[in-house]
Amino acid sequence: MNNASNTLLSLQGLTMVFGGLVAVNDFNLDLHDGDLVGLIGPNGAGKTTVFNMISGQYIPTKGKVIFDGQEVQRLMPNVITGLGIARTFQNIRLFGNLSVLDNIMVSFHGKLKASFIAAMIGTPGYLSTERDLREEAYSLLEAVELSDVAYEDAQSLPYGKQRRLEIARALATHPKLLLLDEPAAGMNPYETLHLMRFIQRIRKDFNVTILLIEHDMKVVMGICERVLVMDFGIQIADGTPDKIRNDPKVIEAYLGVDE
Amino acid sequence: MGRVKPGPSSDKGYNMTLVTFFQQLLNGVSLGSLYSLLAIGYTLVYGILGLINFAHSDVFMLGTYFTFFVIGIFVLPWWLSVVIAMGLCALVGMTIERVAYRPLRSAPRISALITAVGVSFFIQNLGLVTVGARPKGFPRPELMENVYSLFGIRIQGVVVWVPIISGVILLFLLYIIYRTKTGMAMRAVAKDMEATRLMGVNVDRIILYTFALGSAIAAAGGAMWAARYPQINPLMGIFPGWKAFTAAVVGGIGNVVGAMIGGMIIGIAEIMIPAAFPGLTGYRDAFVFAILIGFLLIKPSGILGEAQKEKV
Amino acid sequence: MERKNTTRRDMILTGMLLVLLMIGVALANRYLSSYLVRVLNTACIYVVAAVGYNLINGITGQFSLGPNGFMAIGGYTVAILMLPLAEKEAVYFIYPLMWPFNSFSFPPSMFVVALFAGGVMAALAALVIGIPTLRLRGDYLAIATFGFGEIIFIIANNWISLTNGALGIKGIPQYTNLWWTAGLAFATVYFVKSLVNSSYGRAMKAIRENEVAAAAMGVDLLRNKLLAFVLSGFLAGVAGGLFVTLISTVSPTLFTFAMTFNLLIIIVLGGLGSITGATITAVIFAFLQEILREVEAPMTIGPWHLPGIPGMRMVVFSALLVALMIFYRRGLFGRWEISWQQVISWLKRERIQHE
Ligand SMILES: Nc1ncnc2c1ncn2[C@@H]1O[C@H](COP(=O)(O)OP(=O)(O)O)[C@@H](O)[C@H]1O
Ligand SMILES: [Mg+2]
Repeated sequence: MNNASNTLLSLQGLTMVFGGLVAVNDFNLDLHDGDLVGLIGPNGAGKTTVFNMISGQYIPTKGKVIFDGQEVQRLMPNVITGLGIARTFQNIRLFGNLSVLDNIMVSFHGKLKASFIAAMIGTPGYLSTERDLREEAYSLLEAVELSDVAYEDAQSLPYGKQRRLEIARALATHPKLLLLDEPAAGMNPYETLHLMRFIQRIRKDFNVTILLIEHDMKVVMGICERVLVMDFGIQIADGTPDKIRNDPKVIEAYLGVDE
Repeated sequence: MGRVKPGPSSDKGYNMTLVTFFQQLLNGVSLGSLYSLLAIGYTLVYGILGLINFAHSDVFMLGTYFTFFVIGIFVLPWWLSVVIAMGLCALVGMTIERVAYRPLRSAPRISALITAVGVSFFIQNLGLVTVGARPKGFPRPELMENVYSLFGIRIQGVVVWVPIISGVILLFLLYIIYRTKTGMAMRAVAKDMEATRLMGVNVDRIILYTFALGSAIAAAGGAMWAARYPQINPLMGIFPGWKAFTAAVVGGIGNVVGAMIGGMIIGIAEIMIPAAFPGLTGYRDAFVFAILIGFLLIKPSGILGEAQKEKV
Repeated sequence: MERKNTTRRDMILTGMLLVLLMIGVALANRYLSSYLVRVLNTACIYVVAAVGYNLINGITGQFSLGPNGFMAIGGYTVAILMLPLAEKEAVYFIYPLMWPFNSFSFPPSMFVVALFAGGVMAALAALVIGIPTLRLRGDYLAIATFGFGEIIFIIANNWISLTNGALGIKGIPQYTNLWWTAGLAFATVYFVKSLVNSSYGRAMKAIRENEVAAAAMGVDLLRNKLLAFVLSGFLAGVAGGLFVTLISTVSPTLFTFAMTFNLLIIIVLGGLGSITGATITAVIFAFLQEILREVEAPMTIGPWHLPGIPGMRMVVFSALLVALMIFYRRGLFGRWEISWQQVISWLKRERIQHE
């Protein structure tokens, strides 16, 4: 394990402009190994856009994303995933017509050693690799309590399980950094509570650093040691949940828009 | 253009080639304006539904047949027949949208594309079965038969009138899109269908209008195409259609002005490249393919299109 | 381990199926009319092309309209390689065949090499079209492959010293027989099926389901789309090669868009993405086409004389395609795949009922 104070992710002056709209403006952040940091802000503040720039979906207009000492902001999303950043999506993006198990196994493909030809022939070597992958995927499903639905289509799962599968699928890429985009969206208070425990557990079990976007203040305040607040693309506060709760700028941002 | 230089064999060569050059250029502009008319329909529909409307080229073909039959049966003047054909094609376009595309609007993309190919093939084969594969001779309107002389350059009526009529239609189209309420709604739907629906706009109706508009313009293009190439057959739309879609890509798919520019580029290239390299005349259509691949490699968003990032 | 045993069991059963197929071919060659054998040949060629086409359209979800172009490339390659030297001189009487093809001809024993070469040429073409188009989102593949078929047509018509232009190439020895077509259909289904069930196949399906998520899970989009497209081009090339050595002629009008359209009907009717569906429907389609050919001919029923309507077939097929898409998008088999496990449990259930 790395030293606890190692910087894992460093965002430096990240800016994203869409046409005339500055969605994110000069955003800075340092994450250390083992952190669990929350990113909150009203709708349209630019939180998801920050994730998209980290994971390579968008190329930032300006600024740098440094992960594990390497600049990654121009790399393709799958390459960034290979380096150890995984994410979930605010609007669930599962592979709906694939089984839950296959959804997990897609995440192993990036690191697959076996050749295309071997897979096509179905060599004994390949088939044994395939069996190993299947077992690994199954134990991951057991760890996240989804093994009972392993052979069902992902699209047939109830909402809460779909959210959990998204997280499990991201974990299957063996990330060092996990980006969760509003995992509690659409959940009832009971499910939300369950999810909070789940996040804390995977953080320990899978040894990942987590950056968590959440609209629901309670979730963030409940499990994060540090919270960042965005509004109109700008970072307006950064600190412990207690400090954030009483920050007048944060209160204004939230009262001014909704809630 | 390599061939504009004076030829060594003739002392009048310079003038001759320069004259040819301008004749060819005007000819290219004339063809290009037809591609522009056809490209508009592709780009409008793609802008709104993200669908390559393969059947658009067949609506273009129907435009020529409608004109042909209206002239033949009702003995109406050419221009009036064209207007009637435009109306009929607008109806056809709306029917296609309503019957074939609307039920698939929320289906996977590939389903809508397959349907579009199916509709296109259906119209072509229905045409083959009903009017036959043998080309019909299209009566050229007198206007197009005239020969004009400009600074001593002899120019055919088609070369003069096609770009002029097309220009008027395109201006009218720009007026509709940028100056009328319907046009504003079309642009809004293209930008964000859901938001536009929430604002109380009847999105389905706007989409129907879009098909009507694109189809009517394609019909006008078809009628003029037949004046240029007066042999019409049920498969005649395929390649003009494919080139016009390429024109829309070159101009920036979804962008109306881009489609006009793209059409011009494709038309001029199609005429000028074989004129400059007569040995390659047989490969005329291959140049369009090369232009398409070139743009996809170097600037896939086209000339006027902006690189859009899918919202994640 | 139990799982390992099922793998071995499946392999044995697959081997047995192959033996059964060989017996079937031997019987067909012996007892069926040459007309029926010909239809069976066509059916098997459709299987090769349709299963390949399904890989890019149905499994990977990228809309290609290219099979006719790839089949043409494969067909011409095989024709030029296999045409005997004496025939070459007779066929290319306007323009002699270009070097080096005028100086050699493959012996019959190298037919398989020629087929492979036909596949490789088509695969290379797929690579060249795939690289610019498949890295883009949207449907540029459709429009580029649609134009590509036309480009191949133009080249076939104009590059006379290679293709003999519009006259085409006649007198290609009829090397294709049911052994070849059925064998290659079997191989195609086997290889594509094990690919689709592998990690590569999962990556391709993930791309179909959601490109953004697939990339975020580490799937290299361009690489996997290209693999599917190039393999599908290869199979189309092989199918084209089989086809020209079945009918012993090739010309620019042999592989038109109608061929692609037929294949599209097959994979849609079978259920986009289902290999089982594509295979079964390809065979049904080959026979259906023959039956409908009869329908198009003029006929007399009692006192009525109906004139033939040539081309009606295509009207029916295209209407069918649109109707399928609107009302019955899953096709006959949806995404269902037959597996040995299912066959066994089905047989067992039958037996229990009988006892
Ligand atoms: N691909 C895009 N194109 C144009 N605008 C975008 C795109 N992605 C995000 N935006 C805009 O950027 C702003 C921030 O969006 P987002 O990051 O999703 O906010 P949040 O996640 O905080 O709710 C919004 O105004 C949104 O409309
Ligand atoms: Mg968001």
